[in-house]
Amino acid sequence: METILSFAAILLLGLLAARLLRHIKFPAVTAYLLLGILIGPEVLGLVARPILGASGSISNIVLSFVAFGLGQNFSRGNVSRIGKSVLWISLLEASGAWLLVTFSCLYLLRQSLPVSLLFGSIASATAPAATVMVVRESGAKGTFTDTLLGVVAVDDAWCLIIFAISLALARGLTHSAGEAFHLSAPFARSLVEIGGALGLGTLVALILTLFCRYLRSPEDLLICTVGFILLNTGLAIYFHLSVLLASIFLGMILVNVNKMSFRFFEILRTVESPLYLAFFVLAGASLEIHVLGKLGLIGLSYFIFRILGKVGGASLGGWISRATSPIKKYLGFGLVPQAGVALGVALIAKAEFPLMGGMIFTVIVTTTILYEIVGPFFTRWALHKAGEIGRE
Amino acid sequence: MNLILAIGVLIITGLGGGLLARRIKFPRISGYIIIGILISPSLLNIIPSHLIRGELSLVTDVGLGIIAYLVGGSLSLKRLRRLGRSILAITAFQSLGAWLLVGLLIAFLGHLFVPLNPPHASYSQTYLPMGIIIGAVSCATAPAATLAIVHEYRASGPFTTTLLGVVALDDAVAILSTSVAISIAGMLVGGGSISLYKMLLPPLWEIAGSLALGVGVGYALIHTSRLAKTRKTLLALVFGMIMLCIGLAKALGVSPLLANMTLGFVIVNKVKQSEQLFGVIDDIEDVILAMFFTLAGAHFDLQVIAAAGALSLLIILGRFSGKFLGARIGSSLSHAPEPVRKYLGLGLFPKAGVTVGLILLVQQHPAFSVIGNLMISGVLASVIINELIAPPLTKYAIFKAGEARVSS
Repeated sequence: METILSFAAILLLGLLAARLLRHIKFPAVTAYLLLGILIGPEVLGLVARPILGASGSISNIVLSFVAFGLGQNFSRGNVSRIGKSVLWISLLEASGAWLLVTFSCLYLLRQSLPVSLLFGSIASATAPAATVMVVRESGAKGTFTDTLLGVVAVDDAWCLIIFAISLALARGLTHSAGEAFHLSAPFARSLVEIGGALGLGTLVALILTLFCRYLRSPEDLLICTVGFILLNTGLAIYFHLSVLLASIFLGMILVNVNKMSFRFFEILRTVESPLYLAFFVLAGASLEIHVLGKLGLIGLSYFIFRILGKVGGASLGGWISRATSPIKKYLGFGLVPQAGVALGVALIAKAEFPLMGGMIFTVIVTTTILYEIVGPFFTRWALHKAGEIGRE
Repeated sequence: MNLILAIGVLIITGLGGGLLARRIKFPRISGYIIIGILISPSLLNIIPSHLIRGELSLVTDVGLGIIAYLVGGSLSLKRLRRLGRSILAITAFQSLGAWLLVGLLIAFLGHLFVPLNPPHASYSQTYLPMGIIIGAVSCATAPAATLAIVHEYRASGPFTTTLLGVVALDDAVAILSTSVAISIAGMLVGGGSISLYKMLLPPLWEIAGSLALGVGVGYALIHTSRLAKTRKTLLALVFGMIMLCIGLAKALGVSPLLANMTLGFVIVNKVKQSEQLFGVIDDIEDVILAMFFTLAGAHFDLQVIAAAGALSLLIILGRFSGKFLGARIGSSLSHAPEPVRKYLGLGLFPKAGVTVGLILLVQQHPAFSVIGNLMISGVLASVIINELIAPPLTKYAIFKAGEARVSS
């Protein structure tokens, strides 16, 4: 089908799907994903090839908008209010998932230590987009919501570090004598990725702030905001930095440097709905559902222990940082979604360890499908339990 | 350079140009276009040409659809009631004027500017058909630049409505006139006879099909928009319907521009509270315009100008004088208000996509193998030069007519 027509179909059918599935209380994200699977190449094949080809660019654009919004949660006020909780919870939920998945792999499933370590490190990632969408759709507000969004944002940095450590260990374990071996290489790479993203985000935020002195109308501000977010993302891709982190840092610096910056975030919200919709439908369309049959025992155990690790770790973190009771009880359930970051690091694992990487990648792909579908339900349930969904 | 970086650069440099243009009291789209020309593959080569021809062309298609929707939406029957006769008369005379003067200039002076020495070809097989065809495509006026300037200065009033009305109608006229011109010119070049059926049926089908499509999608939007409760849903819905209209128009081979204008026209006249249906698009309009015009400038091609610069000047001269005089005659005959009579012609100079699309039709006609490439280069070059001249004149006309609501 022709590209523009295909886009139109995605938008209009997406709206229809969300409306129909609202009757059975499905979150809109899930409706979009299910629609994507339905019209994707494996079922109906209604999505034009060029669009699937460009879906990488579209998802990077949307992810950078999402991440930019997440960065907004790190204003000085917010950091002093919930910063400690966010740090502890994110650290412990990420390592919780890491350790639990690693040990379950190692002792229950009798996998080798390198494979278990890699699985564990991938488990630490959380996908922000679905969580953010559920928060928006439900109109949730409050400390729980702020903490959740903060954890989702910081989580990616932890994941990169944990993955780097695990990759270094796995390499050390599989490395045979005679090969050159640098334990520090992957670690340095992830530090460059995080540090580079911080540097880039800071630089772009400062230029944006300078540029905005010359703007008068809200229209110009929108053009400017969209332009600089895309510039930031484009540069992050160009320099092989983390797109998510670069945009989070952009938002984070902006909210602290620029007093008027809330306007950037407000204005962006007016335009993003069609983009989000297209993003999730395309995410659904690019899920390879035929691999779902290959889930297997490893997949199932990964699925369960990752959730347990996140929930347990988040509770522990909440307890240490003396967070409120709903945070201790339910926050971990908002961290179920898994998507791009996990797939990205799984791809690296596949490239580094061709022998076992294929199996790891398949497991991550299959569990991603499951997590993406059930994740939004968990998140909404957690928000509901925390009592932060407004009664309209 | 990756796609996302290219879009980012396009938007930011464009905005910078727009702000500078405002400083020297030029319309901001002039700034977008000049920046676009600067970063084009021909000059600084910042935006790679494979992106301009590839993925970024979606921006042009979608942007044009949105612009057409807004143009249609500015033509409510309430405003048109007393201006209808003027709009029709001006449209007819200014199209005819442009056709006639461009045609005559090329037919009589063409050989002085453009050396063309094809073997065994007489005058009536070269300059005369060239004049007829280029004259016909010169009828079209680009709605995008006009709308952008109207939007920037928040212009409204009888002059603005007449201007937008003429701009909307004369694209349909151009489709018709080009088809007629290609038939006549084809007979001159290749011999044979004219078939009235072949000459009029395809353009009439294209126009009627576009109108029908716009009406159909319009009613679909009216019925579904009642279900959209939030502004976000409405934005996704309207955006989706505009894309549907563009996509179907392309699939059916009718004009996406006319179809979307009709869509906007149906909405503004059939929905009691249509502000929301245009308001959601207004929110994103500025981003779209910035991308659209910077990208339009980035299509700049030095080789085309070098190849057909002289011919393009002839085209611009003929078209400007034809439009200006035609608009004068049409407005005087229909007793239009004073500012319309004096200044409307100055607002009709923008031209872009429709003209380019129409001149590319001659490629499909084997009879024009000798003069075809020169015609295409000439028109493309005239579009590029025209992009620089026309917007400030449109702005001037709107200010002279006293309908700008924002000081420059």
